[in-house]
Amino acid sequence: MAKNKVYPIPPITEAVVEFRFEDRQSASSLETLNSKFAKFYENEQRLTNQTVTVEIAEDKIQTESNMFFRRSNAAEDQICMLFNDKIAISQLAVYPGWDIFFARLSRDWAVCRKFWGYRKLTRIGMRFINRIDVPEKDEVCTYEEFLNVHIALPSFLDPSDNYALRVEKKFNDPISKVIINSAPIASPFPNCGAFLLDLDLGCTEELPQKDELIFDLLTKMRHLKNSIFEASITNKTRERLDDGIWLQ
Amino acid sequence: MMEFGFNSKVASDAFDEWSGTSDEMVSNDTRKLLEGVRMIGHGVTNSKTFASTSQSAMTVDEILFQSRAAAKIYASKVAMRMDPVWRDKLFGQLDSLLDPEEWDELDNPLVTESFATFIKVMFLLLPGRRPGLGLTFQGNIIAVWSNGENRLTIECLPNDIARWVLAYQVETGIERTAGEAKISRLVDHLSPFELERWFARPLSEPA
Repeated sequence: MAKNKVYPIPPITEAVVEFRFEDRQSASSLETLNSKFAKFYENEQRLTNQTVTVEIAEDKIQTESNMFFRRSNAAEDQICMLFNDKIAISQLAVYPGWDIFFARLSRDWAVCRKFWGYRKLTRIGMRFINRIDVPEKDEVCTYEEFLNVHIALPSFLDPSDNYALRVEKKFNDPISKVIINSAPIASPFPNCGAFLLDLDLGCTEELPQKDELIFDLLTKMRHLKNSIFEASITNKTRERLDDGIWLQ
Repeated sequence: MMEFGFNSKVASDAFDEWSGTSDEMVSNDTRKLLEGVRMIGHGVTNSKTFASTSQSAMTVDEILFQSRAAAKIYASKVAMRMDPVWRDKLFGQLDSLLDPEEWDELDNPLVTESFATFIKVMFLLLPGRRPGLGLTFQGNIIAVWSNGENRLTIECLPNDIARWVLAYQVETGIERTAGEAKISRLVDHLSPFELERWFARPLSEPA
């Protein structure tokens, strides 16, 4: 396992931890839980997911409407999503480091636990979305200089205008499924291109239900995520992540 | 020689079993980005689910909240390269610009694409002083630097276009110039006028 390196310029644009439950809570229960988060996240959005499912073979159309809450802090970089069958705690850039993020998600988990009591977990997900900003050279960004996870093309197709790459792999410690997505994306910085490195870990088997064991699992998932990240980037990318602040 | 391969036992799993953390759990900007790159390997199935997230008609407060939130979320994309004090003051300016108590209902809220251009302009110019900010009727952000009689005003339009008006002191008085260009050419247009004229911090101004 790679050690957990802390970069001065973390490329994480969003980190999410998601808990999914076997049962569904009522709208009133969700409403009450939402009110308990008001002191941590001052902004509140009440939203509705409207789902239409078309079963072509059975000529059947089903509609479903579910309310959920999106709560966020004043700076809009800390988010908590409350659904009747899942919750998610999210951190946008600047990623403050695992210890701070973990403290917040532990706090939010404790709020849910205290209110709900036991609810059987069916999945724990951890998703870290990274954007690797790279300099453009003659309007071309060379992925192999910055990523070890990349495509290989015959020369007449290179450089390509676009690509998307998806890798899936099961791991045993912790028992998890990992999805890696990578693609070129627009950089918000001038004179730069960017690569997406989206690391999505999900655990559904032998899922712990006690708090300490859940936190242990999250720690293991984080170590695995870090190992994948370190293996996926080159030293040139590391140099850029050690580079300093540009806008003083 | 390196060898690459795949695990044939696992690769036969139905692709849908690999659904990961739902995209609805990430922010709207991240979701749009992920939708843009998702294009591999979804098989045809007999059922299809269409989902949308809706909100009822919004009040001015809600519209302004969404406009502030969208700008702050956009700023988070570059915040790792931005001094934290710079970011906090920028957020304060956004809160002030989009304050419901000061808002005229005929005005348009900040256009996020204009804010994206503004962010790029800041990283191109790297000004030593933060600009004052304003909004046009159309919702485009305006950045203003004043230093005595010298004044630089840049309106940031969507799609990386900037429109500027500059005033600068010469021996015979004040001269003014205006222009519009892609921001990739902005520095070329402004450099002949010596950017420090506007960006240098006056001795009386705190850091």
